[in-house]
Amino acid sequence: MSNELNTKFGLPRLPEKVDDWEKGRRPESLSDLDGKLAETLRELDKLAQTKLMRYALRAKSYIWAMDESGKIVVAVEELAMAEPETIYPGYPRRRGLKHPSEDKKLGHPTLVEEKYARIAGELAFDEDENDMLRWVINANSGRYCRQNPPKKEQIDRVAERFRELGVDVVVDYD
Amino acid sequence: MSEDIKILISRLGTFRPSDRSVLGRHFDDASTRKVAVDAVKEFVQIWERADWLEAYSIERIGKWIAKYQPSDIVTLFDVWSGSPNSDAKAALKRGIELGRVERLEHA
Repeated sequence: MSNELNTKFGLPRLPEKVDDWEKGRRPESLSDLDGKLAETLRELDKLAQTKLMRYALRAKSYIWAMDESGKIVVAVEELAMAEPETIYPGYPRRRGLKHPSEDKKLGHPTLVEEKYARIAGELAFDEDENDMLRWVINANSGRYCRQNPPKKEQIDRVAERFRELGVDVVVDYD
Repeated sequence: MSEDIKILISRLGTFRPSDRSVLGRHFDDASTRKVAVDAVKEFVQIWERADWLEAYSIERIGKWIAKYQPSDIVTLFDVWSGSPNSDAKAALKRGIELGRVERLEHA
């Protein structure tokens, strides 16, 4: 099983670095990719086609990682702010408008308790050629995929996991 | 900083496929090229002034530029990042190097 996972998704690797504000933290929104989460992602896709929610949903980014056992976890990319700076944790990092340096965030290592991951990346809505929002997935993780970038087929297999659960994703290889 | 540059900096922050399309169109058009160049430089310089660095967010921009943009644009950023005197410029330089390799592989 492990050898199969190694080939299909890559060897488990430790994060290149863990920032101080990430240590011992985990995103409040951390969720396993299963049927229930897939249903939520499909619902979000429907909402993203509405005028009311389109812009709010486009402004959010999600991060995902596959742990050593092959389980995929997903979270909203959350700000690192914690008490006493904030009355509650879990604030989504809103991409765009602000320069990314303005917001320290909880990155990929916080999805897997700073341990091993095979592959990790981002998930977000983006406009397609018809100006419709689509889920787009990539394997961009500065912590897990920078030194040893995944192969295209490994990213495709992650996308297939989402599609098997009924979540229509487009792969971004750049 | 002009509004056009601010908007492109937002695009550089998300860097999704549609963001890259917009940036690419700016590089393609002689009348908007300078805005795109200035936006990338400003994006890196803001990181230089910050108290932390997400190097990968710069590296992937350098990689994309080297992979898809004309050689004069690539050279411009390669020269600008020079002998990097900051981790942010070093990230841009590293991205350009990676992008050049990928471009050659796909040529």
